[in-house]
Amino acid sequence: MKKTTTILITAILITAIALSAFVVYEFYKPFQGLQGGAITVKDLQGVNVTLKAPARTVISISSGMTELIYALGCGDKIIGRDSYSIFPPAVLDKPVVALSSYNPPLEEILELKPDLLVADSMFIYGGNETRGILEKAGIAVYVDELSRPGRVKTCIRNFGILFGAEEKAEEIINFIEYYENLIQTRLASLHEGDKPKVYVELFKEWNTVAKGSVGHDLLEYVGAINIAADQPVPYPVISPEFVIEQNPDVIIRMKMAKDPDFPILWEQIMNRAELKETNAVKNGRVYLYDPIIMQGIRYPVGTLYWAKWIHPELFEDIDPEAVHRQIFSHFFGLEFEGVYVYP
Amino acid sequence: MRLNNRRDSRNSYIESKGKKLFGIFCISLVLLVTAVISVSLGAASPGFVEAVQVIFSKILPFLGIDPGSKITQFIILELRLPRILLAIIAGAGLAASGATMQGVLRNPLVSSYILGISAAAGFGAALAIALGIGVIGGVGWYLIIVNAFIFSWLAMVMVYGIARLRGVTTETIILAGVAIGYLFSALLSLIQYVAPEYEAVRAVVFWLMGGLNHATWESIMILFPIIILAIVLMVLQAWNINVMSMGEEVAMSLGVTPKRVLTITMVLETLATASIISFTGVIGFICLISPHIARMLIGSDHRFLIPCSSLIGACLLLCSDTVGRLLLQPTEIPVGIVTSLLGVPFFLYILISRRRRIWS
Amino acid sequence: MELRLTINNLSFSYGSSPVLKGVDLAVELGEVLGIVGPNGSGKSTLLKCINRILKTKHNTVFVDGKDINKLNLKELSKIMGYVPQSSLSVFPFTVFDIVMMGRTPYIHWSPSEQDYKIIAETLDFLGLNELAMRHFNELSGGEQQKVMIARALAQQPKILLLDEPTSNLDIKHQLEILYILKNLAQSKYCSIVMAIHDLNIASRFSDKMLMLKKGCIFAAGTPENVLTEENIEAVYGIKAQVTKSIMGKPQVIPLEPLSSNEASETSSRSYLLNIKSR
Repeated sequence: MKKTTTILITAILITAIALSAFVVYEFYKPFQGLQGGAITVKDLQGVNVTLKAPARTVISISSGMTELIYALGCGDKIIGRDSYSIFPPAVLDKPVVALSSYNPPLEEILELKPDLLVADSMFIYGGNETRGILEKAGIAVYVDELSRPGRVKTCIRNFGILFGAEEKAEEIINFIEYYENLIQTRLASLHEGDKPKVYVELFKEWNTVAKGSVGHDLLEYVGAINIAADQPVPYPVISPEFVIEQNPDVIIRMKMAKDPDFPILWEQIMNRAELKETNAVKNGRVYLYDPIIMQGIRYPVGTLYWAKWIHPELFEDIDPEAVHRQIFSHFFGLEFEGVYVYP
Repeated sequence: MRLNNRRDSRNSYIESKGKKLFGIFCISLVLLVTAVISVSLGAASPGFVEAVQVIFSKILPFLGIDPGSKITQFIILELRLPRILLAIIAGAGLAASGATMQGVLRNPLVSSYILGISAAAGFGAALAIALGIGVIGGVGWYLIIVNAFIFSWLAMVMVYGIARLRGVTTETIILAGVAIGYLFSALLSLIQYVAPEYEAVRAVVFWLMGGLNHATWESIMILFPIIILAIVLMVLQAWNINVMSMGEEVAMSLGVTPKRVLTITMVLETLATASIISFTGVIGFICLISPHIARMLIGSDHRFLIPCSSLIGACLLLCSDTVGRLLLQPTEIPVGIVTSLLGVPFFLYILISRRRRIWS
Repeated sequence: MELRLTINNLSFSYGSSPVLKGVDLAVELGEVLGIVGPNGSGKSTLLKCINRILKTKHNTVFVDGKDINKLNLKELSKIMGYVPQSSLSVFPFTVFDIVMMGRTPYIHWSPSEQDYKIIAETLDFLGLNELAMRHFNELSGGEQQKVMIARALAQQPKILLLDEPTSNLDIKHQLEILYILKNLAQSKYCSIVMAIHDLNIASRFSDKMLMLKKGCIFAAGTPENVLTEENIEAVYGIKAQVTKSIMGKPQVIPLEPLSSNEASETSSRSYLLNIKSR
């Protein structure tokens, strides 16, 4: 009796395994996927993104990239966006297919079948399988990080190639480089002693930037001394006593959507007990900014504001808002609107 | 008269056994139906008819069924089907581990994460993500899986090592497991604080919530045999687990060595749970709830309980994932959140209903 | 005179504290051995040493002349059945399930027809037929105890070890169970070793008795030899009267505790006076 049961069970197991192996094999036969192409660029991950011809349709799940595509004059190629892509207003008519670049749900994207999907670095943290699946279905994937100044120009150039808008891309790059040179020239004669001490606060109280972070690199770029430069982690939460001790000359704070309005936030910081005795507050050198002016095509605006706040004497004649206006009108054909800094 | 009575007790038992097998069969049907429904639902247009067409055109190619457009095929075969299979196999594995550990540790509140595995796996994954080990480079995702897997085993080895100091018994294992769990939780929080990239921190948080969107046929091919093997071996231990749940002294008097059973089940449990976590992140409650439901339906005989629990776990996870997929389009609610929300009414129900005390 | 169970110079310590010292005993086929002694004298420990729940040295415990340390747990469980003091079932099992566990030493995966037969007969023997499909936790204390004995009997043991089998039971169940045990022994089915704290029960149902004091054997032999007023005073610290019951066995009537010192008597008297005066 025992023997027959064992034989029976083994037989069932073997059949089951064989059956599942057969089924899996049948289903596993790969799809055609992407084939080689004439156009190739390398994205943030070093992956070769290839297209046979400039993209005719694209889905953008990164707000910075959506802007960039419109600036390149290719806005009508967009057939799907993420929920954060709300500028320029023309894009609001396009269907929302994902919340953000993180773990985008694939079914709708597959059904829309764009030539190209562009995403920011959150896409990577969702897992590599997503890229694999899309490429299997014949959709190229390009990932980059427009909030990192070092990648902006590369990304613009790559987009120029991918969309067949190389000329416009060069135009944007020249625009950006003009202001980069401007800043560098004016800061060239700066001595260590002239550099003011700056405390940058991200969206949480006492959360600041240190070596290894984008914010720190920006501070160095505009010739400032970051009071928290040598902290052990890139985004440390520091103690108020440290800030008091360091006595920063300028305080810059990032404002997110969930923060109160600019004037109210400004009052809050000016009135914060620990900051009251700092040079920055005493001289009223407290500035707020919306991080959108630091990313992608708008990043000259952001850096100009920081440079001007930190070295007002060197940038007296520069009006960053005018630059911003120019971007609106020249690249998007829109009236400038919105408040991005305070005061 | 006496003769009749003797036959009666044996016959009633055989009858109850038959009922249990029938129950398992019914639940298998429920699972099948759920799977069919799930494959027919999704954000894109392919529905029931298209799904059936695609699947049958693959299984029975000689019938010449038209599979529909390439995209329809792709969505059904590359997106939905792997995901459904992953939900089934992961749910089954977690539920089986939960039932096994509850039995062997004589505690119905034990989950398959009792050995601190979830915290350790989370830490391993976080370590890989946060140190940016090859993530930007593109190869890194597999490293995250491997790391999570390695650290899960590390946790088990540590728990076993600590338990050995005082003798491998139920109490020492539970206590050691709690301690190791806390250790890795703390280390995980440390990693999140130190992580060089902001996105890395958020990614770790998301990974910990548990998600089935990385289902590919490759992951199925790796996971399927491992989990089936683990579950079968657990069921083979079922008799010993039954005996263990009566107490270690009684177990020894019946010829069962508790230390040996504990070791074997710990290894099997870690194998199943670690493999699953590596692919799906931490999905909670399935391992806790499924054995309870199964016990209410089918009793505590682990020869039936473990398979029944597996099936129920598969159903629960599949339902949770489908709900998570469809509730708030276009976004997906991570399945770990849905299962946690499931847990609340379940435990309230146990608290309130006094119908039969599930344990003493 | 077949010796079923022999114990030579058994000693056991929990860590560094000795619990049993130099215990010798012998149990014949079909004999009932009753082990008595005050709390902490080592009765439970002795039982657990016999069936290797607690490990002892080699050549200490012999069954049918064989050293139990030479057998593995499985083989041992075919020879010895153990009924612990308290029964705990964390999960809901039926009576049948639990008795079925008694067949563990003989089963590989599933019980055979033979196993089912034995289980059914055991249930029948203990009058548990109606309760077979009931849940263990829903039964009364007496019924639960019967189930535990049934489980041990299903092992077809040569020796049955019971730790306080009747402590939590009402009189009727006590008698039922003790008669069953006596029956088992007398029909030469197995030998019985039971730890009992009720001296009169031990006296009535044991063929031989062992009285332990602080882990050592104080007295051994027939109930008449062991249950003397001097022994009881020395081991339990009480004054008792030992008479002969209707059954012809010694009957112990406890009289009063022997106070350990005069001082405690006076202090307890003054305490009561204080209470009264308030």
